[in-house]
Amino acid sequence: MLSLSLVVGWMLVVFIGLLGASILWLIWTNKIDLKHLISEQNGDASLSRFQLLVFTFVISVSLFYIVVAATPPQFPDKIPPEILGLLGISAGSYVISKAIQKNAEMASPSTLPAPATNQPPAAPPVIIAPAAPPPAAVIVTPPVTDPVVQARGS
Amino acid sequence: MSQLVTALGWEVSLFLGALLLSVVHKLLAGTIKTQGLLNDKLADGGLSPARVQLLVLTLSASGYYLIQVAHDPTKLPTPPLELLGVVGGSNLVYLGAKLRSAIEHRTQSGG
Repeated sequence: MLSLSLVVGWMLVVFIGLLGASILWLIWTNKIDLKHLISEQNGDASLSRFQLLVFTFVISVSLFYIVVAATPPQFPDKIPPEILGLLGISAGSYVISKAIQKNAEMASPSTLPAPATNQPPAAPPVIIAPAAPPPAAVIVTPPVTDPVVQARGS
Repeated sequence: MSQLVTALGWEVSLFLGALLLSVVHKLLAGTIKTQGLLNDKLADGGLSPARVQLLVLTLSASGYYLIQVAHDPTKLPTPPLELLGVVGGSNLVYLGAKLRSAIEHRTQSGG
């Protein structure tokens, strides 16, 4: 059983390694494009996003360093709530900042997106004629073929 | 089993380190766009002191915390309440300046 768990463990290590290497390779070859990592929709860099990125990196690197520095490696018993407060301040500031910016942009018509000019002209409305009434039923009397009836008729 | 844990530790360390280096390199090389990071976009587009102080305090608080971790890597250090107050206050200054710019922008555009 121990050897099985070891094999599975090594397989996971190899998988995680390959996954990490692939992600790094895609970042270095710009197939994962980080150009707009801290940008807003209009292309300008956002300080709130940058702050959130810095705090996330600092806390994740610190957490990992503490995990591997212990012998044997172990997760810390307690995550101080002040750290969550630090991340919360940053994330809350980001949300409020975006709300202020959106509000200002919506109030100003000059910052609204320009209407698209290369749209094809609208198609004329299609008028659907009312359906014609169904033709009246025509009752066709078949010719009489009975010889007795024919004799009477003549 | 200890070899497995060591290998995993090295692997994740290398990944985090390489990811951090990639992001820092792309920031310094200009691949990640930082244009307008310190400019007030709602006003005249000039340098915003509120943004500068937020950037400086963010980097200072991060450096302080990393030094604390390096001093005692047995547990996650608790950031002092003063640090939280300074970071929160800095964010408030930034948001206040942004709100002021937004109100001015709205007034000028007649909104």
